[in-house]
Amino acid sequence: MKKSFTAIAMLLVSLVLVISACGSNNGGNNAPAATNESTKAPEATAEPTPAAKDVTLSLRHTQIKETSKTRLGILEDVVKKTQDENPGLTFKLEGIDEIVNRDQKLKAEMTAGNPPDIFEVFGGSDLNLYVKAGRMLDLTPILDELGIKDKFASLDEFTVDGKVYGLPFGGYSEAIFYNKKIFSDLGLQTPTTWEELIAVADKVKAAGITPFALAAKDGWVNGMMWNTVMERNVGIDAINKLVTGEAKWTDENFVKGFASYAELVNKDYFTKGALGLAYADQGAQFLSGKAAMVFTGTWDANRFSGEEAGDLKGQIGYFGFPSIAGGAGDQTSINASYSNGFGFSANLDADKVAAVKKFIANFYTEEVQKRTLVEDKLLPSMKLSDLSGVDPLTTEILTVMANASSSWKAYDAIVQPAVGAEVNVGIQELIGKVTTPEKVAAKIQAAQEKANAAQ
Amino acid sequence: MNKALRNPITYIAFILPTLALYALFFVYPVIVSFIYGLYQWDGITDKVFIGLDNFIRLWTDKVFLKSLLNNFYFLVFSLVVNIPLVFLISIVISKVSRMRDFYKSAVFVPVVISTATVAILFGVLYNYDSGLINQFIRLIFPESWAREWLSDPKLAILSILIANAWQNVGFFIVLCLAAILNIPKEIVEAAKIDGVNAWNETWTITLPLVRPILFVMLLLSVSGTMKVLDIVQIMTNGGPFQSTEVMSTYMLKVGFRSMELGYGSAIGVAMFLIILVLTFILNRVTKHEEVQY
Repeated sequence: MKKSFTAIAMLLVSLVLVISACGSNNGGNNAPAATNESTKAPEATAEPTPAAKDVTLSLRHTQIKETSKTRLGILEDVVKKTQDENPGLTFKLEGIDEIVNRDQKLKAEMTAGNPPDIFEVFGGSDLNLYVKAGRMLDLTPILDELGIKDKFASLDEFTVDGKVYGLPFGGYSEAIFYNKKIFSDLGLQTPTTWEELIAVADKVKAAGITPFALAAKDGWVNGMMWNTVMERNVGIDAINKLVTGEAKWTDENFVKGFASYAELVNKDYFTKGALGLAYADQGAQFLSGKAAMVFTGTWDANRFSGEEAGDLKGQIGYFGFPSIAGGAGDQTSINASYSNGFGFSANLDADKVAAVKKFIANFYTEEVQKRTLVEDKLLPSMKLSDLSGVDPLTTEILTVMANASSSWKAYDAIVQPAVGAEVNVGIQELIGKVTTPEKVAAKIQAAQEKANAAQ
Repeated sequence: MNKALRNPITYIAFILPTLALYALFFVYPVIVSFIYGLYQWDGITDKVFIGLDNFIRLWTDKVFLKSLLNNFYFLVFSLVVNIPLVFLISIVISKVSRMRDFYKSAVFVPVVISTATVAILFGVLYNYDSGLINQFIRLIFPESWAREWLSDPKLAILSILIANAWQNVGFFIVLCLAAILNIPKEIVEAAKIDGVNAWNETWTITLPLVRPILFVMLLLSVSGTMKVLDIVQIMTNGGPFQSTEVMSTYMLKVGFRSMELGYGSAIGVAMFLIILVLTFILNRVTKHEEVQY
């Protein structure tokens, strides 16, 4: 009896030692706490301050290119800060290619129901699908608690039925970047009407320079300029109505939109052989001075004012797309959107949600946003009070956006993915000059009807 | 040892892992793809059963038929251009005795380079403005002879085929060369004494004796060209306007870009069946007469 009692006591002591030894792995000063555990256990757990519970969050980003180094650095700093503030919390960062993430990996994971805890996601049609499947964490309570909801420029693309399912970390607008040097050499002014644009492009072409750099291998790249030309002709409401069937691609104005775009193609304003070139070539042509203008998103501003610009550094400007007389759209509007953001998995347990809240609180601050704007030229998704230290090109971009009469989101965030794919093919056909605007419109309308019927 | 292998339990224990992997990664996906093919499904929300509609749609889908045709271009090109070229180069190399190893390695180098690299490399060569090919053309011929190699729908598929051939012939040459060098010297010497010329030697001795290797090359060509993906994906991504789309790139686009997973699965099943039938036919056609030394 006595013997077995000693044995049990020995066992208990050794157990405590083992546990305390394990505990000291987590943080240096846990050892004394662990020995007390047997007596004071209830108190220790009731105390809310130590978040000593180990929580690991996986975070998927797409900032893996040479040009995204600064943005990755900012993200890593926020992650580090959050980890330092919350012992026991670990983020596991994983970077993969943007297109692979958007089109393959994330979609496959959404299908299987095992997305990473935090991931980059596009607002609009991508997000809608994931919300419909119940894969996205509803952030509304977190935003209410942190009180930052009103600080965002726009949460439209991440809001479904009044609930917010993602937070944009930046925005963009799409318009024309131009080479100021070529413009001044040829005595050109930035055009404000379609006729002026044609005149400018003709003069540039006559000087032996390509008016617009274009790399058309990937459909979305062509889609950008076409999208604005189309909006000028039909108005954003008409594009929104396509998915309900109230408007048709074959309507007169839409066909006019395709025809306007085809006019630019048929005048040979774009890079020759564009259909075989990948996106990066477009910026390279522009920066090499072979092309005078390029229609692209402001995400390229960083590249256009970076090392690669060389002599052209500071010689690149930005202007809104000219107006088209007689068009049904808002002629001074701009394609601007806050669709690049972070989404969070609906699978998270309470501890992870608490950790997510801390990440959001640290990442979505004016300080981080300002830093992103200054260092990475990414347009802030939150309203900033202080805009000092911003470089000239970014200032120009912000001015153009401030002067725009309205802003709207891209077609591929409105129409169904299958229709978006058909649009991309149609524009390529126009660029390849193998079809007519009417035929393209009819083909896309057929895809639209099929997609509408499947809803 | 022999005893152990005769014991059914040991026997099964050895093949079970392989069978399990085979079932998990081959049989199961094929069956599941077929089932998915019966649904209209965006991959995330609920599936809608639509019977054989997806498979019927294949017959009327112009892009799919075009993709299939492009796959056949690949096949025909490899049968009509690659294999004769392989045979020719192999014979030439087998005839030279000086630096044969050098030639052997030289033709094999492209095989070692990854397809992605080859695709990007050729993309640079084919560039309209700065590509080597067009620059060379401009040097000798008038400017108008320069071509948009990858963005002209008439030329794009040919441009890909050439890049693909450049990469793939090396492997076949090494196969073919090994077969040719394996032909016993006595046969060739005997024929020489009988006064055979080079042409007849090739036609009546070499060709029949490397038949088994030719068959292997055929088989590899059929399966390789029907499921070709990477080089097309990187060089043109099926473009310009889907003129170079092959079945596998189209399957990817439909399944993951347009989010029609049901239809994408149907394309996958169709690919599987087409390759199966072609291989079966090939087996039948080439089965008769084995030539022995």
